[in-house]
Parts: sequence; structure tokens; C-alpha cells
Amino acid sequence: MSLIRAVKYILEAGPRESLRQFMRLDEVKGGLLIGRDRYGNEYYENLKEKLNRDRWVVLARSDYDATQVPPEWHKWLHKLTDENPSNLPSRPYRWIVSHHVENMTGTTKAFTTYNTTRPKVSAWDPQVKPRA
Amino acid sequence: MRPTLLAHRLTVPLQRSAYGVRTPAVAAFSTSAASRAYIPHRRPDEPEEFYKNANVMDHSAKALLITELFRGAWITLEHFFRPAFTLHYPAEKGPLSPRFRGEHALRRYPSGEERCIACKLCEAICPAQAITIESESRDDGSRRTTRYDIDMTKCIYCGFCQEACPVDAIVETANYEYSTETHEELLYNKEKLLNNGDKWETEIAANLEADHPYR
Amino acid sequence: MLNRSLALSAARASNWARTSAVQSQRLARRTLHTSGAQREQVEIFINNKPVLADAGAALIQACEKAGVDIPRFCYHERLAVAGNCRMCLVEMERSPKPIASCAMPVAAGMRIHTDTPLVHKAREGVMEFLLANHPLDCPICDQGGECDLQDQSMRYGGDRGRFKEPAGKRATENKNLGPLVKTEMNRCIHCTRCVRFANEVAGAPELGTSGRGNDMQIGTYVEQVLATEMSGNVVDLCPVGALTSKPFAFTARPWELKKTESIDVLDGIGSNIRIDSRGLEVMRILPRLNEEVNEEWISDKTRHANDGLKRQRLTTPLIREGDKFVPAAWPEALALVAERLRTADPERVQAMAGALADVESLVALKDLLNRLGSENLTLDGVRGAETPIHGLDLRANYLLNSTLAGVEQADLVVLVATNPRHEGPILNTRLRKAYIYNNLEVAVVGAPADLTYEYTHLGTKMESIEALLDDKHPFAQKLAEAKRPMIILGSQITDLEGGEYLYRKANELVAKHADKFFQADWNGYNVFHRTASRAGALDVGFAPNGQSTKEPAQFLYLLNADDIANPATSIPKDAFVVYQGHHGDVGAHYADVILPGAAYTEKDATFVNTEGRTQMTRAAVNPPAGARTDWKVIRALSEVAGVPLPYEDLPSLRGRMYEISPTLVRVDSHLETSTFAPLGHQVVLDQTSSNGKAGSAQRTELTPALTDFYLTDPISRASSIMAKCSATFTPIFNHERSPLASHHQDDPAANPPRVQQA
Repeated sequence: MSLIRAVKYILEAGPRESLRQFMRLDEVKGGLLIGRDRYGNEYYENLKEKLNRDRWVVLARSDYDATQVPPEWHKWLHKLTDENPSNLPSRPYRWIVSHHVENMTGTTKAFTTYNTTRPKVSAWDPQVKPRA
Repeated sequence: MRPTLLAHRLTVPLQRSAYGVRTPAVAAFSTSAASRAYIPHRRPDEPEEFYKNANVMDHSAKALLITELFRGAWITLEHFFRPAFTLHYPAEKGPLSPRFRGEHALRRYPSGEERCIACKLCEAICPAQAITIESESRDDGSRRTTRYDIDMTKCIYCGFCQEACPVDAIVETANYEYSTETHEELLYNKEKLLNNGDKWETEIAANLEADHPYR
Repeated sequence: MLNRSLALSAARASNWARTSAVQSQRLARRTLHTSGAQREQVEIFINNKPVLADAGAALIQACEKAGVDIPRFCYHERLAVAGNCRMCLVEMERSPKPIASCAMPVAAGMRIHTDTPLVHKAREGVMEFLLANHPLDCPICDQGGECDLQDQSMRYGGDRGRFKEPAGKRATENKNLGPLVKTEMNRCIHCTRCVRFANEVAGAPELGTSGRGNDMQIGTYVEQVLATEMSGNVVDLCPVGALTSKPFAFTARPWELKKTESIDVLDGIGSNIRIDSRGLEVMRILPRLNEEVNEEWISDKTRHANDGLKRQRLTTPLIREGDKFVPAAWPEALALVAERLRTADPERVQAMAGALADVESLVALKDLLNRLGSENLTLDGVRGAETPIHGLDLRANYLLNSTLAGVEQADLVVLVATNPRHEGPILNTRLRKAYIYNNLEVAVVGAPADLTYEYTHLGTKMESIEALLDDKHPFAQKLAEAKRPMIILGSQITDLEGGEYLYRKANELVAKHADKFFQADWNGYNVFHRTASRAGALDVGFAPNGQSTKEPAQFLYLLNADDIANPATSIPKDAFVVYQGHHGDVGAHYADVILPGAAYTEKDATFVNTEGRTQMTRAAVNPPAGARTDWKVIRALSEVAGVPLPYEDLPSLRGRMYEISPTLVRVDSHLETSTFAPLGHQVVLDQTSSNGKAGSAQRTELTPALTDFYLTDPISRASSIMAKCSATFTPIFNHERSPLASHHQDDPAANPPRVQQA
């Protein structure tokens, strides 16, 4: 955006909000708040922005990570759909996982692969039988 | 000094001057018009006007004041005041299509029953042989897998498995942000894939609905 | 009689269904190797190409010989012709409709076209009809990838169907045919191959069809299991996935399996099998075509005992310490065994070979013991420490001389102390084939059993055989008139107390009709072994001979020996026992050191079947964990013990086998009638004394050698599928109540044995 609009957004947002946005976005942007998910991430849209920069998320946590966006908002953010996810049920079926977990690689909770089958050959359980 | 045309000579010597002379390859043996037209060779970084402007003053001004440099710098300055194209990842992300092929997931039916029936079509079609399946009869008599491993490091993300699956069990989600720090974490097993599916089902279902008329 | 006449009429209808290949193969057994007798040939024109076909052959066979592919579902070479699938339709000139080539015999001058638009349309139409009611089960059907319907619809079918019934496809209930055959009758296309097989080859008339048209169902009508030990073959025959293998259900697809051609060792027949394996697991076992041994059939034990290869395996050497087995490493175990071997008195070093010992390890072990100065080689089983009755010297005395293929030509059989149905089901199918096609007369001396064909029961006591030596007995008269009589002595004869009497009497019977038992191309004197190792051990000489001592052993080497009689008492308490085998069955419990060997699917080993045919198994998978190939274990032991055997690799070991007997290395070769047979018979007569009257032992009743067909060797005893089969089928075979089958089958009044009392 142009320099004028950049300055306008900073003045509109105020110092605290500007600082928060600088920490998350590296710039201050103004837009319509589309929705907020239950983790506190805020989703904005501004159609006057350049193409592909018109939808963004302001992540809630200070240790922010791209994978913290839950799946229902993920499809909105990536322009897979135009529907506002706040208007749709987040868990149409009971077995859909309700709590979204980010990519845990590098931590102790990282996924470690394991064998899901039984071992193929089972060894004899040795027993001695006495001889008379 | 331009070399003169030597039309009637059968062999044209290749004169190596500061600018070089390049003759067409046919020149050596023919006396046709092509052999007589040679192309003046100029150095690529010289602008054409240089030839037109033979004035010493203009030439020196250009050399000393590095005008072309300032021309380039002005273009850069113009772009400084225009809005940038760069996306500020992770806030702004690139758009995806519903057909995008990312991380794999195993889906379920709405009742919660896993869809995969261990037909092994995906294992057979996988070009990289990344899928390993072992199956047996489950206690209730149905046909289910005991092992469904996808080695994500062998996978080439072609999407053949999701095309082959007759029940839409294995799909590729739109998630590409699953990079890991160790190799081991990328050897997905059945549980991981099912969990993926449970996590991303809303998005998978939306993508399938958008794309299924074309599949 | 009704059984036989029904079977005969079915047979007459299918008389030309036997291929000429089988005929010429049988006749090529003549010792002078004359060319096979030629049947008369007629000339027909297939696709305008002249072809010579055997007279009386079916058109479909002539087309096969000409190299033209005719699709078919119901036609099978070894079964009677049904002609109900209509897929083999071809166009014949001067015929208004296409003809079913399986049902039309060739006639001279016939002109056949297999590639015309009419034929294409016929095939597409048949395929469309078959697929109309066929469920869309390919992803969950086990036959996917090897399904005749899939392959033929891709090749000969149309690209679309017109089936749009709103009511849906026909549905049929699934039948319970037992723990081995899984039925999904929605997929059945009613080719009736299973019905014809069960009725003709297996002798189980339970399976049949009921209803007509769309309501036709294949099943047992009343709820019965398919109580035959050849029931697994219907799974191979079924062209679609209606009958599939229950243990193999849902486990693998055919394209991911590695196929290895090998031999089965769970009985004495040596059926040719194909082992399908994936990685370390043997997934399934299928039959391989061998006209001379098992045709295309294998018994259920051969087919389904493979899950016993995964249970109770010996995976690491074990050393007994007190009353516990402690895992050890190979060098340690071998060192311990070698030390005890070196320090033991050679006269009291003994080896015992079991049912699954291969020829290579028998040769290696015999060489090792002989080098140490010991001649104490015994076989397991009752009376295994005594020289077998039939001796070791002449092969014709201890083999199935008529050969399995030759059995079909017999016209009279005397079965002595053997139940071929359980001891070697393939032999029984051959006998049944002779019964159907050749009017075979069968007499049984021994326990009466249901053999799937009628026989004359001479008696259960051993002395019943004397009835045949008496000329006034009706069967003795039949024997006098027979042109190709056969006598089969069961291997139980070597185990029985008083078996010498029976042996002597049987040989007297043969002597009485020696000119018919021993002919130029026919030897009717047979001994039928029920283990895979026995014939090989006898060929190698691994059996007690006159030089063995009778003292109790100090060092006992059990090579796959699990049929030890009374192991707790017969194995001396202070002996050092080494068990080399692959399962923790009987022998391993009494051992001091256990050396794990490889099972038959895990090694390249030679076995000699009961006919004397040498065949080799091939390794399909690796032995588990610490197990090793058997002969290599013995070779390593010999090196550690200080008497290294002179061969280090398989070719030199086979060279040693060649020195012992050239037949041991002639794998899969042609068997010939031995010219020494009458001489061997004379030797038997001279060496056995003539007991005039039956003693007390001979008046006891003969009991079957195998009480349970499904649990005869370590592998099948470790298998859970065999346990299930045993619980389901053995009571039916014994005419007792079977808790896992329906109440119809365990009523002795409803299912009497097919026996005529003498």
C-alpha cells in the first residue's frame, strides 16, 4: 500500500495495536475483522489491498507459528472458500478432533512412528519336560 | 573502419577484430547473397544509441556521470513507493486450489467408520512405492488394514493414490506446513494418517465438494 | 453301486475331457520310451487354418492346441463338461447359432471361426449378463487381481452395461462351508465347477445346486460343512470370488506376492506347490501343475498349515540349565555340543531322524556320525530303533512302485493297514479316479474308514488278509481275474507289533499272482509312506542296520524328530540330547541343547517322495531370527567338533549325495519300473520266515495310523487353522458328533460309511 495509507493505518490503530501488528505482520494493516477463532487468532480482510494480500491472520500467541491456524479458518485464509467459517458448524461429526494442535516437531510431543501390526513370527516358549 | 564487401571470393577469411566478424556458416562454399551479408557484431552491453551518437562530449558525459546508473536507481525508487507484492508469511498466505496436493490423510464415513477397505489399489498405483499396506479381517468380519504406512519422504505428491481410491479414503489435504526436524517423523503410520484425517475433515470435505464434478 | 453308476455316467460324458497330454504321459512310462500312443487325429479348420485334433476331443481343446484362446468359466479339463456359462461360444459354418466349444466334439472337416463379429457379440453379451447380477465388490474381493471375470471382461467384454434395475442386483445368502472356504454367494456365477469337483474328484456329495434360473443357489442345501480334505481346491477352481480362502481372507493381493515353486513335505506325496510370500511371511500356498504327482490338487493340510510356520518357532539356540532353557549364541551352543560329541563313546552316540528331515541334512548327519565311528542311526516312531521290515537294500521293496499316475490304471487294489485318504489324499483322489473310470475293485485290510469310494472290507484284524490267499473268497476270485492288480502296504507295517506276519502274508499274496503284479510296464507292489523324509532316509541308509548297538544312548541327536514314542521314558535320563528342528514340538522339550533349523519354506532342500521321486523345495523366505539351514548347522558342528565334513557348499554336498545314490540328485526326473522288482520280492520271501498261523498279536485289531489328519507333524500341530479344522472335520470323519458342524453331519445313521462287508 502506499505510504499515505500506511501512515493512516498507524494513526488509526494507535501505538499499542500498531506495536502488536508490527510484531506479528511486520507492518500495520487495516481491514474488516471477519472473525475470531477460539484460540484468539483474528482474521481480517481488505479487498482494496493487492491480490493475495487481502486476507490475513493476526496470530494470538507471541510464539506464533503458521500451523496454529485451525482447519476451518485455514481454508478461508488460503482462499479455498469464500464462506465465513464462523457461520458454519466447526464439528459436523463427533469424531472430528475438536482441539487443534500445531506442528510439534522439535518438541517432545513430536510424532514418532511405530509399528501398528503384530510381529510376524512368534517364538516358542521354552519349557523343559523331565525324563524318567 | 568497416571491412569491405568481398563478394566474389570463394573463401572468406574470418577476421578477428575488436568487434569480431561473424559470417553465416554457409559462407565458406557458396557465392549466394547470404554469404555477402555479414552482421556487424557489437558488444551486448553497449546501447544502440552509442553508435548513433558519435559526439565525444555526449559520450564522455555518459561515461563520467554514469547516467544509466541513475536511470536504474530512479526505477528502483519508483518501486519503493508502490505497494509490495511480498506476502507476509505467516499472516498472509498464498492462495490454494481445492485440488492442491499436500499432506495425506485417511478419511472416515460420517458414522466414524474408517473408509479404507484395504483394497491396495493405492499401494499398487503409487509410482514411488511409498505406501505399505497389510490387512486382515477385523473382529467384526470386515476388511480393514492393520498397517497403512506412507513414507512421506518417498512420496512424490502426485495424487495418484487419491485418484485410485474407490472409496475416497486416502486424500491429500491442502496442508503443506508439516515440515519436521527429523526424518523419522515423516514416516507416517496409520494412526498418524487417521488423526490427520480427523483433524482436517472439514477442509477435506469442502475441497472434495468443490472438485468432485471434475474427478 | 448307485454312486459308481452315477459317477460313471458323468465320466462317460466327460471321457474326452481328459487331455491327450495326460494319456501320452502315462503311456510314455514304458521302459523303452516309445513315443506315446497316438489317438486318431482329425483335421479341422480354425480361423481358416488347418489343425490336427485328437478324435473325440472337445473343440475347445483343439483350439487350445492350435494356440487360439477361448474364454471360459465353467469348462475345466479335469472335470465333467457342464456347458452352462456359454462364454466359449464360437462360430461354426453351417450352424445357425454359435456353438459351445466345450460341449462339441470335433468332427472331420469342421470349420470354426473364433474371431468374427458374431463371436465377439456373443462374448460381450455373455459378459454383460454375468456382470448384470455381479456385485461391485472388486476392492474388497480377494480374487481381485487374479479373477477370471475381471480378466475376461477386460479382454472380451463390452465397455458398458445396460443393467438399470431399480430393484437392484440379485442377492444370495452366504453358506458356511467350514473354517477353510469363505463363501460370498452374491458373487457366484453358477459355473458349477465346485459342485463337479466336490462330487467327482473329492467325493463329497454335500455340495450341489438348488433352484433354477435367477434363484439358483450353490450350496449344501441343509447346513453342512464341506467335509473333505480336498475342500481347499474349490477356492482355486472358482473363477470369481465366491469361494475364497478363509485363512487368507483380506491379507494380500496377488500382485504383491513373490511366487516360489516348491514341494510340500507335510505328507509323503510331495505335492508340487507354489509358495506365495511377502517379506518374511508365507501368505499362502497354491498347487502347481504336475501331471505325475498331484495334477492340480493339494490337500487342505498342505494348503493351510502355513500359519503354523509363524507360531512356536525356534529362533535362537537354547541350552538347558536345570529346568529352564537359556538363550545362547551359536558359537557357544555349537562348542558345547561338539565337546560332548567328542567325549562321548562312539558306540553310544545315536541320531534319530524325523518326518521333515531333508536328504541333505540326513547325508551330513550320517557322514558325521560315521566319521566318529558310530552306526546308530534310527528313525522316529514306534520300533524306529529296529531295522525296517522292508529292508534298505532294494528300492522296489519300499517305494510306491506303481507311481501316483500309474494308480489310475489299476483295476484292483488291496489296501493293507493304510487309510490313503488321510495318509496321502492325493493318492486317494487317484484311486477314486480309477474307481470312476476304470471300475476299480478295492479291498481293505484294516480299520474301516470312509474312503469316498466303495470297497470290500476284508476285516480289521491282521489275519483277515489270509482271506485273499484262500481261493474261495469272492475277492480272491476277482484278484485272480484282475489284469493290473495293486497292493498298497501302509507304512504302519513297520510300526506294528507283529507287522512281520502281515508283511509276509502280503508278499505271499503277491507271489501267488506274481505274473500279474510284476509286468513289463507295471509293478503293483507298493509301500506307502506317510512322511516326506522316510523314502529319502531309506535311500541314504539312515536307518538301523545290523551294525547298530542296542545299548542306551549317551549322546542323542534328534534331527526334526517329533514322533518319538514315549519320549519321557524312551530317552535315557543321563543322555545328552541335542534337538535340531524348527518348531518347539515334542522333541524340543526333552533336549539339552536346541539348535534352530529352517522349515521347508525356508531352505533349498531335497526330499524323496513315496514313489521315489526326488524333488527340491526352494526357499521362499528367510528363516526367522537365529535359525539356519539344517545341513549347514551339521557342517558347522562337524568343524567345531574336529571332524570337518568334506563339503562346504551345496554342489559338493550334492556330489556326495550322488555318490550315495544317483537318484538323489536327479530331481523331477521320469520314474521307471524297476527291473529288480521281482528279485526284490524274492529276497523278501527268502528273508522273512513263514509263520504258519497268526499269533496273538495278529488277532488284535488294526487301528488307523493317523488319528487326526490335521495334526500329523510339527508344523500342522502349531497351526491354529489346523486346530480349527481338526475340531470341525475330524469328528465328521470319525462319524461322531461335531460341535462346529451342523447336527446333520454327526448323525451316524444319516452318514454311514460307504462300505460293503465282505
